[in-house]
Amino acid sequence: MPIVQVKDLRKTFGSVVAVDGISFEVQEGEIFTIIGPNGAGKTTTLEMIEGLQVPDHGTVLLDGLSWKQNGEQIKQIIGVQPQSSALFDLLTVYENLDVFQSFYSKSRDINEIIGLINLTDHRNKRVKTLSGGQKQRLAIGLAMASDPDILFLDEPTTGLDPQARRNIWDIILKLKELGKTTILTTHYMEEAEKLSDRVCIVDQGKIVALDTSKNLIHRLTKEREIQLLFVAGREAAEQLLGMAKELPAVTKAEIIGSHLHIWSLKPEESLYKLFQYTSDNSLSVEQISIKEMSLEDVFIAFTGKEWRD
Amino acid sequence: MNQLIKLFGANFRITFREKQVWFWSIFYPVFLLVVFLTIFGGIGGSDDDSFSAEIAVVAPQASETTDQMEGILRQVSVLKWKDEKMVSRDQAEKWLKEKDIDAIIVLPDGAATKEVELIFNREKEQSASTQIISGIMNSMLGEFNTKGEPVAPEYALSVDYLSSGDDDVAYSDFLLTGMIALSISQAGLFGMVGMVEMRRNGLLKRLRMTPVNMNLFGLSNMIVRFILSAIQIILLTLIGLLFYHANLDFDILAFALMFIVGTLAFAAMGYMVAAFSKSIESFMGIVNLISFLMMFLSGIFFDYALLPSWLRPVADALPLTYFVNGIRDSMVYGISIIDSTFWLNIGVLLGWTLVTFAIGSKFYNWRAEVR
Repeated sequence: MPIVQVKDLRKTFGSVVAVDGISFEVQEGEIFTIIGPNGAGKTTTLEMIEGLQVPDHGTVLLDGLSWKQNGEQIKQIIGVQPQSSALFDLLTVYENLDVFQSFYSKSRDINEIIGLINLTDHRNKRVKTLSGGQKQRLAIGLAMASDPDILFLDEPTTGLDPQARRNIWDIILKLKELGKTTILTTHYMEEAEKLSDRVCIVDQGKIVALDTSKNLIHRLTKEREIQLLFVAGREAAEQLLGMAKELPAVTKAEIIGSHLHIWSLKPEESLYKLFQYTSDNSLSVEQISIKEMSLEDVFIAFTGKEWRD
Repeated sequence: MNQLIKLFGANFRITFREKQVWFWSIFYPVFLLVVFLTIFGGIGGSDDDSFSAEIAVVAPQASETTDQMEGILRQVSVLKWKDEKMVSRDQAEKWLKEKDIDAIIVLPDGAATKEVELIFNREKEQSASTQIISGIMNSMLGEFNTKGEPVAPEYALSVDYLSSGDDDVAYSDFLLTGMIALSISQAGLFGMVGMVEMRRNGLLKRLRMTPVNMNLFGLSNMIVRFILSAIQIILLTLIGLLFYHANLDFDILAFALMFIVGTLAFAAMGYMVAAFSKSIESFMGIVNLISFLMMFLSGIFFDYALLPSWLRPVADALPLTYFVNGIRDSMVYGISIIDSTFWLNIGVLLGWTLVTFAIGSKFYNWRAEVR
């Protein structure tokens, strides 16, 4: 049985439809990412699952329990890290965990949690003195205080520098090793690709696409874009253009600036043939790249909109 | 139980690690007390610190009325006559200019003028003794006027009231107990800023996602407030006793009950304000206004009797009026819980507690996070 079951969630604020029929299921041990631009309905969806907001329509089952009937039981098995890290600023890292732990019937060793979130050196420091990344890690630690089965992390890396972000990624992957089920929201595509088992792309309150990031990209297109720049510049590119167009796997070739762009269904084979030609004609290649397809392209393809962080 | 202990520990640490708490709840009341006692504590210059003012009484023309008034004035023990007899106006003014006396009281000259003239030295216009003499005269004449042709016993009653308060209770005792009541009320009101802050920074929302028992959270918070107020009382009382020879007549049971109910009443008021405040700034603004109003209308620094009569109904409605009376009764006058005034004070405070708490509960939004 899926540990999280969400069926046809809807929520309207005044005349704004924030969430418009979202359904999905999450399996135990999965990292499930909800991604979308600001205002797409990610946080509202998450808050309805966390029991903070009551959906206008639809059902949420966590480990088979519903908020209406088993609210207090659900609170015991979930851990939440909200978007704004709400902590007791005047308490130390240890004291924060200690007081949160007293709310629950189940618990995990506090020192182990502090180790997990890399705050052992800051154990007795007051939250006030911590950096943004350290506070965010503590917020994740507080979500872990009760050793919950399901974790909700709402934009855990927003506003952090790349180093701090990577630090949090490591923690999230460690949580997976512990067997936790994690539902995560983000608006960083890279994060979704790196961390998640499955990605749910949301836009304007609706699910645009839901699959593993690999499948999503694969589904998008089978072509890969190759870029070549020659020492001899545009002239050499023009010399190669006609030949490239004749190659069997190539669907399209054109010159943009002084770069030659080639779209190929079999990039390795096409490149092999291109290099044969360049060495026969002693043309030296200065730069070569094969463009990675990313979830951003998936988003653009599915919504027809530009992706903005 | 474990949860209560941990929550209490957290609340306790949060409160006492906050420098603002130390400043406003501990240092500030002590500072105010010392300033006020030093400036006003020794009014009249007498050794026992009790209030008295030297006056001269002038009666341009003796009549039945002036005789009656003179009689009353002589009974007010805090008014010390420079000369036992009536003096001439010139003589009195000379004394006043030389600051030998605090005030001249000129009784009405027969049927023509009904005015009692009260003359002070302009340089002392703002002094406490000026205010107090005005107050005494006001309440005396108030009695006089409302009763029409006065009968002696009725005066005696009014005068009695005036003197019983001022006879053995020194101004320092009056001020000390006022400051204690003020500190407790302010700690209660301002302490509720946490309710606004918790909602603003999302901590409230965060706690709602846990199985925490919010009643225990509130209870632990109140226990910390009681501890803080107890510290204030002990500190202020010690200062009063050690440095200003305060005379206390404690009734422990009455005091403890008054203390508990008062703390709850002002916390409930603060909670109500918190329910309507979107930001810390607006909360502080409203609370400052309320506490300022109460500070001057509820008889903290000066006796309630000094208020102009049109302001008295306002003071009669304020909880601090009853709280300060209750604290004074139980700390200085030794009035126990058998006395009906005790129950009046407690009752009004409980009423305030229930009403403000109910309004606060109705409007405090546990869900909203103001972004």
